[in-house]
Amino acid sequence: MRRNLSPRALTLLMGVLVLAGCASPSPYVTPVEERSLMPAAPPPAGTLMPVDQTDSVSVAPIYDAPSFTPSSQSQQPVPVAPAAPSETLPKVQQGSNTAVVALLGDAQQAAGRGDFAGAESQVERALRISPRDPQIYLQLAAVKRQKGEYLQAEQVALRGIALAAGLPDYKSKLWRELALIRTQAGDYAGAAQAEAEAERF
Amino acid sequence: MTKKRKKAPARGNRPKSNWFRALVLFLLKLSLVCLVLGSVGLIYLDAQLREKFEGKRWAIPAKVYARPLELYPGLPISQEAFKAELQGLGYKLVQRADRPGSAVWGRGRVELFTRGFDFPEGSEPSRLMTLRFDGSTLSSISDRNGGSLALARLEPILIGGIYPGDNEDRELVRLEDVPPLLPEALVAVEDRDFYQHFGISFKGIARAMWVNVRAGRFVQGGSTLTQQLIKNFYLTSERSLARKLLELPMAILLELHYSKEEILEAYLNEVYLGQDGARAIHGFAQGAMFYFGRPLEELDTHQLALMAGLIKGPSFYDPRRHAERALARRDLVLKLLQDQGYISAGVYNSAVAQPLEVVEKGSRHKGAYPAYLDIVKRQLRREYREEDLNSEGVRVFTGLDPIVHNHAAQALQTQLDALQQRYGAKADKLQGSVVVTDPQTGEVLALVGDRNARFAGFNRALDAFRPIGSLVKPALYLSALESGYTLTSSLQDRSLRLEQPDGSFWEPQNFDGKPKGEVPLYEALSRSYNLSTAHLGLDLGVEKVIDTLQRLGVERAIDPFPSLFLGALALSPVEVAQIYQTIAANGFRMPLRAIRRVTDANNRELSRYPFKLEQISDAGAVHLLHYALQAVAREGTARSLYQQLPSNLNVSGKTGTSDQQRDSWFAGFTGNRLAVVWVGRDDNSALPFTGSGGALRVWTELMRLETPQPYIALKPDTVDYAWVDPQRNLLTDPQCSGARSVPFVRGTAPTQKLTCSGQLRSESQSGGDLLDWFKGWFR
Repeated sequence: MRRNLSPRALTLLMGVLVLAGCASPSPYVTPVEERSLMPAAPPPAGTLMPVDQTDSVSVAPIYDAPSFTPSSQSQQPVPVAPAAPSETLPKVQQGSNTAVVALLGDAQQAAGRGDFAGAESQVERALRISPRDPQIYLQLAAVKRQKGEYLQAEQVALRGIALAAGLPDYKSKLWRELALIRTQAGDYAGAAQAEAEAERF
Repeated sequence: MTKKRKKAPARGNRPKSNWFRALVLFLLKLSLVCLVLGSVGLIYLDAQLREKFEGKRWAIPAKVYARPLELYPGLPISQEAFKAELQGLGYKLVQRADRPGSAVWGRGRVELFTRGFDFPEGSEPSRLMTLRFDGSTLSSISDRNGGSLALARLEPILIGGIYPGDNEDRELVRLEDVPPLLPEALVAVEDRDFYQHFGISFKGIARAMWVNVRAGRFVQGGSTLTQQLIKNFYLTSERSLARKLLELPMAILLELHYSKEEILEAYLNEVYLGQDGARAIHGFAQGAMFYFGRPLEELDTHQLALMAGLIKGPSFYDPRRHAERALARRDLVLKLLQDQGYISAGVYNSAVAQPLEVVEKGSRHKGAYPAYLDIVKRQLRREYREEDLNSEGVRVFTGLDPIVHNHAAQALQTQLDALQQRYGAKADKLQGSVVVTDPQTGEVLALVGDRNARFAGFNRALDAFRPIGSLVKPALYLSALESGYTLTSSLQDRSLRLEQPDGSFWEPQNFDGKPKGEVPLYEALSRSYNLSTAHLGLDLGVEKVIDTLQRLGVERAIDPFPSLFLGALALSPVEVAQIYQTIAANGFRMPLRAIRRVTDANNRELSRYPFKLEQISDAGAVHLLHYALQAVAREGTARSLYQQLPSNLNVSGKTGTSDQQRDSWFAGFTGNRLAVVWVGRDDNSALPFTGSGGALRVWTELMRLETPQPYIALKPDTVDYAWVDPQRNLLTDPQCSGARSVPFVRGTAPTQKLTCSGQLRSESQSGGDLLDWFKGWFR
């Protein structure tokens, strides 16, 4: 029976093996988070900026999941499997973290009272809990702007934009915040530029 | 005048009466002077007394706190680590959590009655809550009524104080916050007539004399609580007649001015209760922490009785050294309390049945973080006056994470022990230091400055300036990537001999002594090749590399010698951490922060140290650098770490070894932990291992204990991945041998493509290429 294993089946088997190898974290993969692939979390209650879900799917990655073909399997004509989202893409969409939502809500209230120092403290607590969540940077940038710390506000917004890779909605909001910061700081050319960036998303 | 006349007839007795008169006059004058002096003295004494009593009575040392543990569903923490946190806070594990500071321990479930804390951001209430754990994650928090809580905060662990010269440690309590039994016990034991007398008690003195006479020796003093307070408060401890003479009028004056309650409160805060090395323990609040590791409010009857009993002789009755005596003394106090009707027979019986329950000297947390306290104090001393720090009751909130610290201290100790065992005498007297930060916020989580983390001596994390060796290379490679090099740019790894500005020759070597020929850029970094790095550095120019180092956060002056390319730059572990912090945060420099906030004793904010950042490098270039630093861990000099750590951790890091192997370094980060480890000797002698043989082991062990989050890179818009043959720096197909998907800043990827057999393909040959080229327009 063994001898009857057709070359076709063998190729298929090897193909499956290689595929499996690609799907599990290969030692040479540089994992890049691609959050646009993930379903956006439902907008948490009480946040200033709920995630707009409509356009979150439109920016699909145009490259295959980075991978490396080990030399031993060199001649196998196997298509490179995109990594399974559930396995290699951890959840970093932090909008659902209730603690962050609560803290940002408190911060918003404090800012509403004009207590920007208090707002800053609460946003920083949120930041320590979830330091890669762009919505926290969005709010921190706004608080720093309201405190008149335009240089820091700008840097916080830029960091937020960097962390919003794959989240066009946040990118757009952060660029808009940046435009506001620059306007208030008197940098009108920079503001126009930021506004144009915001329009891109 | 009339006197004179009257006395005139008696002139016959002149010599005698003259002598007598002079004496009387002298005595009269003398007593007048004495009276005046005495009154002045008394008024002065009175003023002194009042000034001290009403003004700032005590110098309160600044309190330094660890970060408060934020509890929220999803918090990664094991139940064991949580237990350590509660023990650090002195929580009592009980069957029923019915008061603040107690917890019921269950499998996957903890019922907790928190104490609450007045944070500068607002106060956290004391409340009963139930925590559920799922593996090493806190899965839910519910309140007393079963409602779920989004967030709760534990009180922060007190990690140290800043003491004045006399090393008095103190914490104040108000009379109304003290368990009523404590003042009752004081009165019962020390001064039965306290509420009746006017400062001194003749009844008390008589009673004491009677007791002493009967016993035939001195067993009881007749001092009232007021007198004792005067003694402690205003007078020096020397026993002298003058002191004794001052004590009585002062006690009476004190009673005249102040109520019994005020005097009692002062007594509670002043009394001397023991000694912790150089630190004198004054007041019951401090005493409760010192002996029982818990706040005074939470102590039980037998514990309060022990402390009341200690006053008579904190050293003689020291419960740690003389448990028997202490126990007898405590039981005597309990007996007095029962006899005088303060406690019932039932309470007495259960109290005397209790063990002493004294905790080990030096709580787990006091004195456990000398290196961290050091960095905190240095920063504070730049901004505050010393006397304000050690007397105003300032509160300092830091970012220290005791759990992370314990892991760092443990990793350093166990791995240095293991190295010593492995290399024997060649690895004796090893020392080390660890800095751990949060790579996203720049907060310093732990600092270890000695192999024995509790040793408060030379702080190597701040003060050991050592050549950083190859740890400098990421700065050089970042300069290259910013200047248009790509990860697959071909570098020349060949011998080099260069005359330095000082006339000496610089002749770097690879670790194995062999030139590697042509190597792709990322590989030169991941394998830490010296020759190709030196050539690259010479091409870039030393000024460019210095500029990058300064942008990354190095503040000291850097000598512009080519030997800098291979790490002839001495930095402390904290300075190295700053460089890697900027790299880890995608090119945003964040000043490392240990202190979050400083408040005064009344919770008013004095200063805050907010999250600050500044972008110093292009996100694309840093993304590429991360790729190469991950290759260090995947396939380069640090690959041994994946024998211990999960492969999805995506560690970025770099090993470093200085000339003649005097220093062993590793700096690296995951998603939420950045750590820099230095291993070496104080006498600067050579080590039997490299960066990967020494410091990397400590780092790996630390991360094994920490179970950190993986690093997940975010691809900047300006970066695209392409399949390349890195050795030939050409595009290729994914299925070809040795093909890698490598990130390139847009527009810098190679344009020519190889077939799997290694031949150059022409553009028109493959439809796929055309499609790729077409797609490229829309990227």
